[in-house]
Amino acid sequence: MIGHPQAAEIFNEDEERVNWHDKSLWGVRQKRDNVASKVKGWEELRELASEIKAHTLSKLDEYLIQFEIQAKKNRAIVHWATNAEEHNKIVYKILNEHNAKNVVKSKSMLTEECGLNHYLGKKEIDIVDTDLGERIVQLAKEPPSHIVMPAIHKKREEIDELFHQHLKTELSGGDEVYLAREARKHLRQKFLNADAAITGVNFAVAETGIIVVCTNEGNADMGVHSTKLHIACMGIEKLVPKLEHLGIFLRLLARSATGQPITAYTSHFRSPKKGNDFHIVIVDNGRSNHLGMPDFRNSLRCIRCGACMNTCPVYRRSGGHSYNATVPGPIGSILSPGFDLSKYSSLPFASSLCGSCSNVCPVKIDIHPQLYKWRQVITEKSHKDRIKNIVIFISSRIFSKPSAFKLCSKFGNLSLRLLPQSITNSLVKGWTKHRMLPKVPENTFTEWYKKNRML
Amino acid sequence: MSREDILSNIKKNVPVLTELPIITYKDFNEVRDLKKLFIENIEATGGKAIIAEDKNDAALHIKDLFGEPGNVISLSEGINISTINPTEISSAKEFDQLELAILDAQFGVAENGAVWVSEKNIYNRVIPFITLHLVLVLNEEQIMENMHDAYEKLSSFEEGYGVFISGPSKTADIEQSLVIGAQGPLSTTIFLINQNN
Amino acid sequence: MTIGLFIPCYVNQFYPNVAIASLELLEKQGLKVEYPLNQTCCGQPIANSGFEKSAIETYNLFVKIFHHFDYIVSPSGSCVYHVKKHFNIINQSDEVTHVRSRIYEISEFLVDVLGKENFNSYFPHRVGLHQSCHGLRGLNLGKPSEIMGEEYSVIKKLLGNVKGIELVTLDREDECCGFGGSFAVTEEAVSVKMGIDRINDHIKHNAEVITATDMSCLMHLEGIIRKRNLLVKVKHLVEILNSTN
Repeated sequence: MIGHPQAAEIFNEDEERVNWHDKSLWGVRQKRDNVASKVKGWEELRELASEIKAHTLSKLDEYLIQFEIQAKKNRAIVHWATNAEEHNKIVYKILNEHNAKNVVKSKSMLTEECGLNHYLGKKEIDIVDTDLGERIVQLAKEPPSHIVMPAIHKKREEIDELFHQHLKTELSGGDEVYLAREARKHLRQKFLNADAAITGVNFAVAETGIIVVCTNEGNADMGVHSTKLHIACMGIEKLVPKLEHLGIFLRLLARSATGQPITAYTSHFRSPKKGNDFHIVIVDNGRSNHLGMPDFRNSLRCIRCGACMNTCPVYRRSGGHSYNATVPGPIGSILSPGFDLSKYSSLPFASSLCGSCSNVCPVKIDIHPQLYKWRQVITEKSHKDRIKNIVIFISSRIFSKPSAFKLCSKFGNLSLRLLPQSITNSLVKGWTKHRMLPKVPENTFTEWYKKNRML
Repeated sequence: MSREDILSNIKKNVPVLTELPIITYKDFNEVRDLKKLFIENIEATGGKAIIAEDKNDAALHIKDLFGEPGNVISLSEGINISTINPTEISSAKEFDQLELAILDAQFGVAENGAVWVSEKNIYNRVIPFITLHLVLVLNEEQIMENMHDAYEKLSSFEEGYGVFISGPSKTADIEQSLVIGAQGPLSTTIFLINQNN
Repeated sequence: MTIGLFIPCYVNQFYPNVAIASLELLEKQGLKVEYPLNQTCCGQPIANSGFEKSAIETYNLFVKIFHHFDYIVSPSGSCVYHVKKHFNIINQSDEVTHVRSRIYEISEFLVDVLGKENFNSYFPHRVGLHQSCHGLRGLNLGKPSEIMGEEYSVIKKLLGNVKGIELVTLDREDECCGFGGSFAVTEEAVSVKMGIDRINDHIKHNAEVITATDMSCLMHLEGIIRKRNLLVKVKHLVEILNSTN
């Protein structure tokens, strides 16, 4: 498995494609700026959202218990899963009990994280992702590259070809209206023939046991209301204390995510229709451990809007797949190392620490400070990069001793001036492939200062 | 077992308690022409907003817009153009050919052009989604400014299901090109009716 | 008022003119400026690479050298940000606290401490402002485009007072240049692409000169410019402010 730098390098081999990807996502960031500027008190909303989430996390166990009590009163059946494997087993067990063979699923990054589709596939359950972007990547046998716009990396011609192959559509040059209409027909059949619907959860309200699901396509509702079995999968951190708090989060979510004031559908599920079954699976999968990390627990506030990805100049120019994580981009880079430090060790370094992500985060997660902190943890725990360690060691010795520093300064400039470019370039290979080294001046400032300011 | 493990691990790891912020929702209100803003935002979503004098007027507009489709359900009292009796249908499959659904909405939200529809308005939960075209009827006095006001109105919400609907279903998953009409209705039209009529 | 001038190592090495301009500009304000010869580095390259503990001795040396000045001023937003933010891991003695609270990037020092915004500068060129991230977002030198609120920019105010200057409008006013320290080398492909995109934005809007509060950004951009033989030049903000007729 390659790290982010290598994957990003490959991504950058096609500069036109990088430009296209970068512009698409920058466009979403601009839409976000536009709608956010129209909200009186936008920055206050962010502050409130972050405080509500911080409070919720500080009483998370109590709120989960409250949620469970309310949900049960509402005739929901509540399950708890410690990890991904358990989540998958529980979902399968419920489906099996209902003889459900055909399942429709609306967008759920949690189920992606748990590898649910793959697990159910092995049990011969047909599970169809009904969000168009998710359906596209499902057909392409790829993971989503963005948590809100899963197929943002796919060009219309590629989607055209994909639908031609799998849905038997005519080649249309990527006519989005034609393709969307065909997808509608195709998915409509899936809804009508489904035995069960799985959804994610955007917010779970402790006070009332309600879960909220936001879509633009209406696919979550089409699935749930066409079938008799609804399974909602949620991470423990999806809770908000009160119904009124939804006002704050919903005003922030779609604006941050796609630049819309609200999604087309914001569905509130409290109780199943009479005769139907409603199951809620509450999943930990490392979150409660993450909660115990004082430097990193704030990332559990995340409401999965993706704004950090849209604003990140690195994400835009390397694509979600280069992170090799279920949740990519800035937030993914501070969540993932918590799950597997070694596997995701390149992610906190895949950033110039510009800080834009922290500024767009609707719940004010301190993303770039956490990236910095993860770097400290990773270098301490990994002995991989021996050369880097040595370079750092030598640098720290030089920077802490004025005499050594002055010597290097003199020597450095001298050698850069005298050595042939071929040698100096190879010494600084990572710089000089695409950049010139700076010109070496006659004197350093120190030398100038001594000559011109000291008697 | 898992429940206890998860809860005890959480309890062990929670940060120091921080209080819920005190929120003055009024601070977010601005003095605005709510109806105008509401209509602007409906149109921005690709929906349509029509001002009607009363339900008869609305019914006439509906005829203008949609003709007389063969498969219509109206659950809005006063607009009696149903061709199907929903009580005779039990499964979603049977609603598949529904061309037009006319429902009452309880209130609208100006800041985003959304309306609130709940269980009591819709008979079968699938109707607002499976229909080809959706019409929502709203008392023009029932427009809130923002979502805070909306949730205040919903504080006593007790039904099993409710949804904010803002415009028609849509997707931009193909190269960020917007397509109106995804898995839900292809169009959403809101009639604003003066309650005095 | 005594001023200790802190010059980042690579500026001392490769861009002495920026240091000279900083010194001259401060001296013109009638200030007593000293450049302690024993200074080394703020430790940022080591710390950002994940080895902040190895930087502790460097931090202590920095404080030892600079703590007796009333103010420490530097033509580098990122170094100043690093001292302010990341010197938190060493023992917070009075000296450390003093240094962390009295270190300023030069433009914020001129405007906020000296209250001066006009230096009779003359720079008759089309200039594109690259808003270096540490200065903009870290030191609040301006309102970042992603934050909602009243527009403000210390740098634009200063540049606005330069005679003959024409500030260009960019497509993306505050996107990162891609230097990011060791990021420039470890994530070379993305770093260079970010740099190219910034440069193209300036060229598209006919900037003759790209300026910034950080020479690190400009060093990275200039490296690309020279490799590609492009016509745009780079100049540190302080060199522009110090330019007179």
